[in-house]
Parts: sequence; structure tokens; C-alpha cells
Amino acid sequence: MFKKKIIIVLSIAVTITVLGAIYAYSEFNRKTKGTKDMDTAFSLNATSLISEFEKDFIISNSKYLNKVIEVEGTVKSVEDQTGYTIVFGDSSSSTSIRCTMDSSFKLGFKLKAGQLCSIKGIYTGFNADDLGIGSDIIISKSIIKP
Amino acid sequence: MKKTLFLFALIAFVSNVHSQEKYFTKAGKLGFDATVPKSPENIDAINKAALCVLDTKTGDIQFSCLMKGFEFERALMMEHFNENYAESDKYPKTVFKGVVTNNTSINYSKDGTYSAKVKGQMTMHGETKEVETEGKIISKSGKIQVLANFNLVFADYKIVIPQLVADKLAKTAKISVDCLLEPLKK
Repeated sequence: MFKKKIIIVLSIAVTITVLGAIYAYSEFNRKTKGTKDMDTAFSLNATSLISEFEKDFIISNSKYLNKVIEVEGTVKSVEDQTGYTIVFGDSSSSTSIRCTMDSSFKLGFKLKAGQLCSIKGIYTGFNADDLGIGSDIIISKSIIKP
Repeated sequence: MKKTLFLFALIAFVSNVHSQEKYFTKAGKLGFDATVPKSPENIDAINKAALCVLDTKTGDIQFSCLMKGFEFERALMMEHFNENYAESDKYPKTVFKGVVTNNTSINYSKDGTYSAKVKGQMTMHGETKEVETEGKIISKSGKIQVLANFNLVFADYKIVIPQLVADKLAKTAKISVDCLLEPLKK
């Protein structure tokens, strides 16, 4: 009877240890979730988002920080220095939305300034115009919505 | 008439040259590597949205980046980096303000690779420390590339590494800077 109890306790302990090790291993190696698989928290057009930040960037920053947002607008420029960056905005405002693309993202077509485009990404922060080069709403890990 | 047009063109060219004293990028690349030597686990990240402004006349140089802009391959590392070490919600930005100390020896208007010495102050995690490093400034086709590598000691910025991961995370991170600057048009 006593032997049986020991076997049961040992079996439970081994099972817990193995499950714990599997969990720790999978958690340690967990890759960053792809933007495609994340749920969208906010969906709005580029002009509205810029207006919100120009009105009060502190409130807007806390509202959107770390949230997945979808932005639709006319592309202001496409930069290709360190992977693609798609910029939304217009000449009437010094604020732009800069969307750095997810490293796994491959642009299958040529995107030009003036084209309408929809982006899904994570709002990472706001760069106020401290250096005299305009302020920016930063969206990272972006993908282009089909 | 032709002479007048030529004169106007010349004035426009000269004023354009003079206005191109400042160069900038909003897509600078900053690398972060805190891998322990000989460790099989790479602890590295990249930020592809760093700001950099260089005034070629004075040598003043500034960098700025959002801590949440660092992308790690592993989600857990990214979470620990932002929540436990960098405390990115509390201290969202890292800023470097400095000067190219040998600025007079760099001919920005002539294509070439120049050694640059940079000295300034870096503010991260609410702490400001003096940073001095050597790098390269490459002038090519009207653009300027800034390249540098330096070490960052976590303890200098009051970033505490828990004992549990002390053998996995280096006490000093290697920082790499790669920014391609374009003329700032006002």
C-alpha cells in the first residue's frame, strides 16, 4: 500500500516536472506573434489618426500604445533604407504616420506615393518634433492589408 | 537676359548648397546585442526607425529611438526587455546628443570615407551618461552614412539584470549604428 502511494506521488511529480519543462521550453522559444494573426483594436483613416495626435498626443498615445491598429490612407512616400517604411500624411501637416514593415513581410508589388493603401500594425509610440524634422506616429511590424 | 538667368541659377545653386548643412533620417538602424560569449542563445534586437540629425557645419549630432521599436525574434525576450529591463512604458525613448569632435577634418562635400570621433550624452532609462566612440562617416552622392559601434553597460543606466538570467544576458550590450542621412530640405 505504502509502495503504491510512493509510485503515485513520484508519477505525479515526474509528470509535473515534464509538463513544466515543456512549458518553459515552449515559452522561451515562443516567437513574436505575426501581425496577421493579431486582433485589430482600432480601425481608422490616416487623416483622423493624425488629427487625434495633433489635438492631444498624450491622450492619443495612451489610447493606442501597444494596440493593433488598421490605418487606411494615401501613401505619402515609400522608403527603402532598412526594409520598407510606408509613410502616410500630407503637406498640410508636419505630422506623419510611419509604418515600418514586419521583417517577414515581402512586398509583392510596387507601391508608389499617391496610392491608396491599408496597413495593419502595432502602434509603438510618438516621436514629437524635438529635432525640427516633423513629428511621427510610429507603427511597427506592419503588413499591407489586401 | 541670359546673363540674368545664369545669375539667378547661380544664386539658387549656392543657396541650395548652403541650406544642405543639416542631414537627417527617420529610418536609422540600431542594433542591440547582449549575447553572452559562447552562449548558443542570441539575445539581439534591431530598431529600424531611429531618428538622426547631423549638422555638418557644427558637427552636432543627435539620435533618438523608441525603446518599443526594438524587434526581437523571441517574444519572451521582447516582453522582458520592455517590461523588466528597459521599462519602456516609463522611459519610452533613448536620446543621444553629441558632437563630432573632429568635424573640421571631414569634408562632407567630397565623396569619401572619414574617421569620426563622437562625444556626447546618452539618456536612457532615466539616466544620462557620457558616451564617446569612434565611427565612420561616408559621404557619397549627396548622402551621408553614419556608422558606429559602442558598448553600453546596463549598470550605468540602472538597468538591473536579475540573478536568474545573469548567465544568459551579458552585462554589456554591443550597440551598432547605421544611418543613411539625406539633406534636410526646409
